[in-house]
Amino acid sequence: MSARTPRELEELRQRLLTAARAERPDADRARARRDAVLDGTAAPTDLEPPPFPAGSRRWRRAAAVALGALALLLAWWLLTRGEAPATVRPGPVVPEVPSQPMAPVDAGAALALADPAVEPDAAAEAGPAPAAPAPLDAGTATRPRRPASPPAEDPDLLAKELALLDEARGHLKADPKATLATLARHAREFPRGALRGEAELVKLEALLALGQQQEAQRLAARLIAADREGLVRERVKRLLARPPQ
Amino acid sequence: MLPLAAILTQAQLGGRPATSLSAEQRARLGAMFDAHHDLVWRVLRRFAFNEAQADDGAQQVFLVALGRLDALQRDKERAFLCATALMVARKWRSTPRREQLTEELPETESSSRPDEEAELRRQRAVLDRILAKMDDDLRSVFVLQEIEGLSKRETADALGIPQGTVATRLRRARVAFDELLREDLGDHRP
Repeated sequence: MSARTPRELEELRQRLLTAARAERPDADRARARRDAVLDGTAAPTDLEPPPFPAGSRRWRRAAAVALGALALLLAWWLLTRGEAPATVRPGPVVPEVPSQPMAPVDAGAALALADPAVEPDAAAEAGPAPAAPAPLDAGTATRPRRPASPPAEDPDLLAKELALLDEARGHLKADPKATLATLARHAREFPRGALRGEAELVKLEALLALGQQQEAQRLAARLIAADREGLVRERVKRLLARPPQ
Repeated sequence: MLPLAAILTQAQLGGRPATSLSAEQRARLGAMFDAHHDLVWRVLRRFAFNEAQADDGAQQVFLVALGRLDALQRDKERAFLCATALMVARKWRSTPRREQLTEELPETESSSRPDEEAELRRQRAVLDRILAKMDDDLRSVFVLQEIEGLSKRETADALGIPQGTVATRLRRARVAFDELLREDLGDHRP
């Protein structure tokens, strides 16, 4: 067979590429997969995301966290305005003290845990923030005021907090004790940080990596109890189900 | 049938269940699926997935994306999804053959005429035969940029390499492809 000219070869190549580009999945099957992914009925995956440019992602995450912090602040303010002067100030979240109220991930649970005087129902009401909160009753008037100082909302602070958390996470595989130490530093430096909930999850991973099962179970129970919207429950269960490394 | 999902997954979720997504996040994931599912599926096909495997693999890719929805910039979606598809392909190929039992599905109905469709299938078979002989690094660049039309930057992001390396690999990939095509023509005339 005679050799093809470069032009003929190019034409052939283009035909092959065009055939590849024209290929489509079956529309019905694709729709079914779409529904399964969106409805949460698809089999879950344990695949970790691939390495991907991290710099921009960090800022994206920081921005998302900032929005979350603002939402938390709004809910907090709506619930607490008009209350009596502070008589008890809830302590900062210190992961080493299991009985301490922990950092939750959602606004309602955050309030319930940050202040034992807040009834769970009241905290739940803080979720969809009302336009005009109902007048406080006698019970709420005696509640201690939570500190007015907001959690970190400065992007720089958020970035620093995120960096510290990334540092803690970075130690997980090689040195879980260092993770705990870094998390303790996080709790000291960001006692009301916006990423406390995430820090608790990292702490749970570290405790499990160290084989501190009882401590891990206690922490997991608190995390799940605080997880009103089910945002953390699955991650906690997954971590507990993970075989020892 | 043992679906790819069963091989690649365990009872664990990388992100969060879709049911916990906000309306906005759900809309974004749906839009992402609509915009890029075919691309992801085709990338998997070019890495030797049959149609059923590509269905499963693409679903895996979007489940991974679901777990990273908040962190994912919109202009990086295609690159991220392609990077994930390549990861799924690598994982799939590292799975022992005896477990890869996913059945071939019946041929997809096409709007093309039967003879046209047969010709397209034959051309794709030639293409895949050639791609299978290419070095993985070259094959990835060739599939993403030459076939699927990702930009140099997107390809670089997806593969985690500098754009200059993408350009170099693409040149080498084209040369390799033409050589393999010539070689293939000796036995199979496209």
